[in-house]
Amino acid sequence: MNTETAPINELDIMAYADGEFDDDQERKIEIETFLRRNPEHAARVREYLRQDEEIRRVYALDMATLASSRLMVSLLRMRSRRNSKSTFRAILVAATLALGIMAICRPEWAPGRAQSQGRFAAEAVTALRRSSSIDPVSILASSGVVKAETPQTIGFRLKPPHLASEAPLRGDGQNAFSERGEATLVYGRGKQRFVLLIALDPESKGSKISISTKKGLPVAQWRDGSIVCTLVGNLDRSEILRLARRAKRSIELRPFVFRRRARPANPQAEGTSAGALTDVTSAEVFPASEATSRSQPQPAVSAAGRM
Amino acid sequence: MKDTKWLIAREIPYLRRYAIALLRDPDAADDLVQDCLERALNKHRLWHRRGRLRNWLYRMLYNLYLNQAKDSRRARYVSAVENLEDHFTQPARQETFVECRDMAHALSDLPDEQRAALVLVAVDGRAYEEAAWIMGVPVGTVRSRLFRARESLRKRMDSGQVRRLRRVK
Repeated sequence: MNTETAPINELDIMAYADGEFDDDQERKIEIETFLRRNPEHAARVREYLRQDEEIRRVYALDMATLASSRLMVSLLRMRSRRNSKSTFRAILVAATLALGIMAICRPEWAPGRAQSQGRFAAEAVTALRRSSSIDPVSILASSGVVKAETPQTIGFRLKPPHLASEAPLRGDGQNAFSERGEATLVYGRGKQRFVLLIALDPESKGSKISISTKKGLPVAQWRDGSIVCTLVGNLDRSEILRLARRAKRSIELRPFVFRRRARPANPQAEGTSAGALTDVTSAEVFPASEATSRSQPQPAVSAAGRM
Repeated sequence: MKDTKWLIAREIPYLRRYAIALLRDPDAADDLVQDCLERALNKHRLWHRRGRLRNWLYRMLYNLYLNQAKDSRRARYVSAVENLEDHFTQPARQETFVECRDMAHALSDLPDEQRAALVLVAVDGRAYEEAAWIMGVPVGTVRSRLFRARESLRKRMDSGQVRRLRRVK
C-alpha cells in the first residue's frame, strides 16, 4: 500500500474501476501511480471491469421490449384517476369558496340573514359616522323614489361626522311626487342599501320621524327646519326607524348658498351650462386625502347653480 | 402533468430492468413497476424537478420493493434467466446463454441489498452517491455492499460453485 499519501485500499481500487474518481483528478493520479507500481492490483481492476461486463450482459435487456405497452396503458388510466381526484378537489374548493362568499355577502336566502340585518344597520351608522370607505355623496338616479329629474338645483352644507370638514352637498334631482330638488347620500353593501335623500321644503313642518311604505320599501322621514330628510332602504321597518333616529342625531345639515360665477361670453367654450358652479370643487366636497382616492360626486343632470 | 407523465413514461424500461433485477420475475416486476408509476404520478409534485427523475423513481421503486418484501415475505425466485430470454437484445447464442445463466445464478444468490447496489452501479452506471440516495443508506454502506457482492461473485464464478437448481424459500 502507498504509505506516502492517503492509504489506498481495495475499496479505493474498486471505486476507481467504477469511475468514482473522475472528478478528483489528484486522487485518480495517486491511484494510477499506485496501480503502475503494483501490477497485481491493476489486475484486480481489470477483473472488476470484466465482472461488470458479465453482469451487464445478464441484464442486457432490450429496452424496446421493456417499454411495456401494458404499463403505458396503465399509466394513462392512472392519469384519468388522478383527474377525477382533481375534479373532486376542485368541487371541494368551489363549495368552500361559495360558503365563504355567502358568509360575507349574506344573500337573502342565506341562513342567518335576518339576524344580520340589525348588525348591518349598526354598521351602516358607524360607517356613516366615521368610516372612510363610505361612498360619501352620490346621486342615485334610480333609487325607486326619484322618478324624474329637472334642471333645478339644490345645495346643502352637509357635515357628516365621517368627513373631516363641512362639505357642500349638491345635487339637482327632482322628486316626481313633490316636485322638489334633492340630493342623496348612499350607503350600501352587497344587496343591502339605504339612501338618505335631503331636500329643501320650506313648507315642511314638524321634526318627528314618520315612517311609511313606498313601493314595498320602508321610508322614514323627518324635518330639520326647512330641510326634509328621507331615509329609504331595503331593510326592515324597525331597522329603518332605528337608523333614521341615529342619522337625525348624527348629521348636521344647513342650507348652503352657492356663489354664482359670471356667465362666460361663450358658454360652449367652457363646456359648462349657464350658472355652473365655480367655487365648489371636488377638493372642497371631499377632504384632500379623500379627493384623490374616491370618485367625485356626479351631478345627476346639469350643475346649474340656481338656488 | 402531461410533461411529467411523458418523462415518467420514458423511464419505464429502466424501471422494469431494475425491478427484474430485484425480483427476478418479470411478472412480479411489472406489478412492482405499476405500483411505482401510480405512486410517482400521485406524488409527482414532490420531485420538484430537482435531481434526476430516474434516481427519484428508482428510490421509490426500491422502497416499494422493501415494503413488499417486508409485508408479504413473498417467495424468492431463482435467477430465472430463462424467464428473461424474451427481453434479450439478440437471440442468445448457446455459450452466451450459459455464461449469462451462470452469472445470473450467482447474482440470484446474493443478498438483496447487495444485488440492488450492484445493479445500480454496474448495470445502470449510477455513482456511489446516487446509489446511496436511492437506497437510503450512507455512501460507505454502498461501497461495502458492492465490495462484498463482487467478492462473492468472484469466488463463486472461480470455484464453479454456482448452483443450478432452483431455490425456493
